[in-house]
Amino acid sequence: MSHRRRPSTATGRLEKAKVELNLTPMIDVVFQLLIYFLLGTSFAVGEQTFRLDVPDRGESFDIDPFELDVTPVVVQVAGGGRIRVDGPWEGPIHVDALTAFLETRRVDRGGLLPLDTPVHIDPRPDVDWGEAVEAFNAAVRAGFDSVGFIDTSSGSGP
Amino acid sequence: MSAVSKLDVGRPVRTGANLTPMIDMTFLLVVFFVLVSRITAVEQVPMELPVPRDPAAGAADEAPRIVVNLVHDELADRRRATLEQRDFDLDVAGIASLESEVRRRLLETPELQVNLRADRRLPYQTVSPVLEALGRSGRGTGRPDGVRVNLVVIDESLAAREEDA
Repeated sequence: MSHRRRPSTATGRLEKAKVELNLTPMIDVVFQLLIYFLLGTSFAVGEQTFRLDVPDRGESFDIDPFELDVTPVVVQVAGGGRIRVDGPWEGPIHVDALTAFLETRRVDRGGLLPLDTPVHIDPRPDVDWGEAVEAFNAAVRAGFDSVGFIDTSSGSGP
Repeated sequence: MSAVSKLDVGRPVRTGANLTPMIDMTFLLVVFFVLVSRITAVEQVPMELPVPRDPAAGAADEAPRIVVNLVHDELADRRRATLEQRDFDLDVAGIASLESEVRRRLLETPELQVNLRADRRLPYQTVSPVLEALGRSGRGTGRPDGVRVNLVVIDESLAAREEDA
């Protein structure tokens, strides 16, 4: 708060003092609050995303004739946590064991599967989306780079 | 606000606070929150998102995106996909319409990504045609790697931390 005394008049009497509030600090604080809310407000509480590349297999593209096909790992999701991993192995039967199973098959962990081996999640049509995503998450957690959902129209992967 | 002047005893001094800047700021804050909440409401339709255990998902990057929502409805014939405020039936015509709409936006914004928010209770047979349509929507847009789709899930531990904060 500031008090300003005006110069004395010809009669020698002081004019009425003018009292003001200095609002600058308040405006500063309001700006700080605005910036805080701008940066700190998250309206998507806890939302995270999985990256999923969805190429269109119907579109023509150049194929290297000397490139060998990579056999994907197909994980069938049957619902109720039950899964089946196609291939020449004794695969897990529950989604909880999928991450550990795939990790032991990685080439850098003594297995035979390179990290770019496609992993195709193949849920049954009546399986809940939540369960399909659970299997997808288990495969991503195992460290494979190319995890996707099987293309039901063509039977191929992502 | 009033006080007694020391200079002129007996006469009250009229003092006033200039509230104009505060009101300006308050209005700006109100406008900001109204706009943001409207945008959020359009993009984030309330639903039960998948909650995987120990998710390996990450935060979405800052690339431009559109959000396709698939909301669960007990009646299968009422299931729809929404893109912003537009509904698309999940039949052949509706999915084709969604595909062409996404393709139009991909052509407008080359780096566009698609966030797919699907209710975890939906059967896979409902989500699968939408995923395939999103894949086809990249046709003719010159994207050799296809359309970038982000599957939206909830990280419970992150949500708990954010709510605590």
